[in-house]
Amino acid sequence: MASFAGVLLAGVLLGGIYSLVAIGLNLIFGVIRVVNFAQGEFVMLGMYATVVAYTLLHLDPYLGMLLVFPLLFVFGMAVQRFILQPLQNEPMMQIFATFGMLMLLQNVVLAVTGGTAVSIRTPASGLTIAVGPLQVSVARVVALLAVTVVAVGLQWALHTTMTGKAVRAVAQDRRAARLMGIDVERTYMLTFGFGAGLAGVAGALLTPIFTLTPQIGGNFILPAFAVVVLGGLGSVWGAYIGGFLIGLTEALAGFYLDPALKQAVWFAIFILVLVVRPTGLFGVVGAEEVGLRVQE
Amino acid sequence: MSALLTVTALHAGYGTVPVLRGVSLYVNAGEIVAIVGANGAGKSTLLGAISGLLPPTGGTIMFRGADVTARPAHRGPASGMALVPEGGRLFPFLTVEDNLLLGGFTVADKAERLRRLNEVMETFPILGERRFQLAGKLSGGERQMCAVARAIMSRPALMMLDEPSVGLSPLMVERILAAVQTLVARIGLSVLLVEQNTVEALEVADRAYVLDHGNFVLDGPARTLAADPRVQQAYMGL
Repeated sequence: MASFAGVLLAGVLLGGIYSLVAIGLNLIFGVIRVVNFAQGEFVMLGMYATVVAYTLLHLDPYLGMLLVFPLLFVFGMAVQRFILQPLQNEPMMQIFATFGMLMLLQNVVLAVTGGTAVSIRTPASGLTIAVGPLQVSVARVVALLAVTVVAVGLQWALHTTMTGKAVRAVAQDRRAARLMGIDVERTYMLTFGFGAGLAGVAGALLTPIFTLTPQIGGNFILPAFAVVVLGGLGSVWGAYIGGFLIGLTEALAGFYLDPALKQAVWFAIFILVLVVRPTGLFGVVGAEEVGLRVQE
Repeated sequence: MSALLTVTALHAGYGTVPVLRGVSLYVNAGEIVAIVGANGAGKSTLLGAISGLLPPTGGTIMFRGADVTARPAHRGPASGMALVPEGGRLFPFLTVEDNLLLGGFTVADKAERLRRLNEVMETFPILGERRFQLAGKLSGGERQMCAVARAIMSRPALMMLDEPSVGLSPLMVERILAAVQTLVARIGLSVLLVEQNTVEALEVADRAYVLDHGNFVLDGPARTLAADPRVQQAYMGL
C-alpha cells in the first residue's frame, strides 16, 4: 500500500514538471497555431542560464527565475519576429523552422559546453520532507506549487484582463481581432515571448532536480506533446491536468510494467486520444476548426 | 465642406488578380451610402481596402483629412473607422460581453469602456440578456446585432457594414437596418453599407453606387437609383 501511494506521489510530482513545460507549449499553440518543437530546448536554455547565474552571480535558481524569465521572454519575441513572422503564411514551414531551431540550439550548446553534464547543488537539491512514511523532494514540491500558480495566474489573466481577452480574440479570429484595433503581430510576439519565458521558469525550477546536458530538452518535449494532446489543444487547464495524467501514467507503467515501456504507454494513449477524442479531455469542441480556418 | 471619407481611383485585388479597377467615392458626415452590385463585383474587396485589411495596389483613401491609404487595419478604430465584417465574425468562444468590450479595445479608460458597454446593451436589450452567453451560441440576427454593437463601442465616425443581410430573414434584415438608421440619427454616425439586397439597401441609404466588375457603373441619390429601370432590372428583380 505504501508503495502504491509512493508511486502515485511520484507520478503527481513528475506530472507537475510536465505540466510546467506543456503550459507554455500549449499557450503558443493555442494562440499562434505553431507547434513549437524547440520548447524543450527553451527549457534547456533556461537551465543553462540558471546555472550561469548560479555560478557567476551566486543566484539561487529560485531567484535566478527573475532573470531567466525576461531573458527567455526577449529571446522568444525575437524568434517570433525574425523567424516565425516572415513565415506567417506558410504554417508548415513554421513547424519546420521550430524543428530547425531545436537542432540549432541543441548543437550550439553542445559545441559550447563540449557536451559535459552539469549539475549544481542548491539548498533545495537534497532536501526532502516526510509525508507519512514517504520522503518527498522539496524541489519537486516547489515545481508543483509553481506550476499551480502559473496555471491559475495564466487562466485568470486570459479571462479577466483586456490583454488576455485580446490574446484569446487573436486566437479565435485574427482578422476580426485586427478590426478591433488589436495589433496581431505584436500579440504573437508577446505570446511567444511569454511561452518561452515560461519554459525558462521551468528550466530554473528543474535545475536543482536534474543533471543538465544539452539534449535534456527531449526529455521534456515528448511528454509535453502527449500532455497537450491528452489535455486539449489550447487549454490551460488541459495542459495542467494532462501533465498529471501523463506523470501518473509514467509512474504506474514504470512500477507495474517496465520502466522501459513508459514512453510506449504515453504514445499509445497519445494516439488513442487523437483517434477517439481529438479535442482532448478539456479542449473546446470545434476550437481546432477555428484555428485551422483560413483567416486571411 | 470636405467629405468624411474620399476614395480616389482605388485599385485592389488578390495576388495578381485585380478586383477593383479605379473606383472613386465619397461619404459625407451623417450620410448612409450604399454600395450595391452582384456577387463578385468587388464590394467586400472595397471595404477590405478601405479598412486596411487588404492593402490597395493604387489610388488614395482620405479619411477625416488624413491619408490612410497604406494604414494597417488595427489603426482603424482609434481613427474613427469601424468595419462590421460579413457574418459578423464575433469571437465564438468569448461571451457577448467580452466581444463588446473588445470593440472598445482602443479605449484606454476602463470606466469609459464599461459606460459604453452599458450604453450599447441599452440600445440592444437582447445583448444585455445574452451578456454571459458565448457569442457562438447566438442566433443569426443576434449575432449581427452584436457585431454592430461591437463596432459602435469604439464610437466610430464611419461604420462600414459588409452584407449585414446575408443569411437573415427579411424581417431581421429590416430590424438590423432600422437599428443602424436609429444609430445614425442618434450619434451622428456615417455608414458605408455594402449589400447584395439592393431593395433594402436603397431604402435606407441616402446615396448609392452600383458596382459592376470592379467599376462603378451608376451612382446618385438612392431614391433615383431605386426608380431607375436599369437598376430595377439588373439588381432588384423587378
